Amino acid sequence: MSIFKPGSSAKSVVLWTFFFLGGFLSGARADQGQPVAPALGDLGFSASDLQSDPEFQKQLDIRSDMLHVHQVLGLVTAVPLVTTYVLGLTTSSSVEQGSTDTNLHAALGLTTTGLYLTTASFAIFAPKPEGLKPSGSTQIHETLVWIHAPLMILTPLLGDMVNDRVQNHQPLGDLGTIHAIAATTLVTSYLAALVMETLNL
Amino acid sequence: MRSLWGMLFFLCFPGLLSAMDLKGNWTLEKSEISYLVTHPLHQAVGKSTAAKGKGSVSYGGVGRFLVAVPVKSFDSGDANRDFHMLEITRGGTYPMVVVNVKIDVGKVGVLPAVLNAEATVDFAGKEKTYPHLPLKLLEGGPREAHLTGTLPISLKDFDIQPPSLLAMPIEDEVPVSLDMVWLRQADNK
Repeated sequence: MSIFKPGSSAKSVVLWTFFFLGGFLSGARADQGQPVAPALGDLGFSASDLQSDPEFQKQLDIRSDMLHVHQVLGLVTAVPLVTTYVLGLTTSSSVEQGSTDTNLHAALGLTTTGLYLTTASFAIFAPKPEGLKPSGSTQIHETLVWIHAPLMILTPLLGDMVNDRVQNHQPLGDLGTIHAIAATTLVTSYLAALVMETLNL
Repeated sequence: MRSLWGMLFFLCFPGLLSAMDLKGNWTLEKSEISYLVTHPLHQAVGKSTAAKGKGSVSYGGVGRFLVAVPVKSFDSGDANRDFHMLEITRGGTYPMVVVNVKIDVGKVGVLPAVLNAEATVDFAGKEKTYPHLPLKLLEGGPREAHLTGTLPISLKDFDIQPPSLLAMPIEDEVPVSLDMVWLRQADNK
């Protein structure tokens, strides 16, 4: 079927030809007009945003390495900490029955304290980037430090006092109970801090 | 005679048949870019609204766009994790994620529901091209386009060592969701 109506003039055919040619040529012109992507500098970022800072990267690398050691040592420390606590429970009952052997518990406690301080030092001395404000799980992790860090000092000191009384066959009074409460709070807060950071709850 | 004038009109202004609605300069008005990190024990989402972008669509419907976002602008809700992310992605040395996007919207004059884009991502000092990035058009018009899409980022592609926790590394795939509102600048700009 012809698209031309019977009787359409030659003038119409010529005009339609021009019309299609015009569209064709406009398409060709559009293909030539490839837009140019803007440059990064055109977007309006500040120079400091765009500036590469190798020194900052180095600090980040050191920080990550130190926090990785902190993380691993933190997990390692949990083992003697819990072991000391469990051993403390058995030592307590044997002392109640007249035993004076507290050496293993005391030695393990001191080892745990040493490991704890080493673990803490990697977090304390890790470079702190400018603008770092603890948030999320890390904030809770750091808040719990205010509980278990003093207890990590206090609990062995209390244990030493208890040990002195045990060795000298003196009555323990409430000292043993206070030592136990301090140890329980220490282990609980330490494990809570570990879980918070590990699982990022 | 009326059809004659009509044909003459289109002969004089053939561009009206093509991508007249989209041609021009476009600016990223607002955006939210978020990554999803998956670890066997938990997931984390980091978001940034600090992206900036510009682009232009040519007469023929070809668009070239540039979107950039500072790596340090991503917030996962945990500053410590954000600094760790900054470290593993070499954000100090390469502070920006830059995405070059090429889109051919054709000469239809209206945006299709899904745009097929070619995106070249410059991240952590490496470059990767995603030849078929579908961008879904949520709202679109001659002056505004709301687009969403997901960049299937793989850490390996950018030589990024996946961080691990309890000896378990995060998954290599870190999908990056894009939610962008683009505005066309006024013609006199």
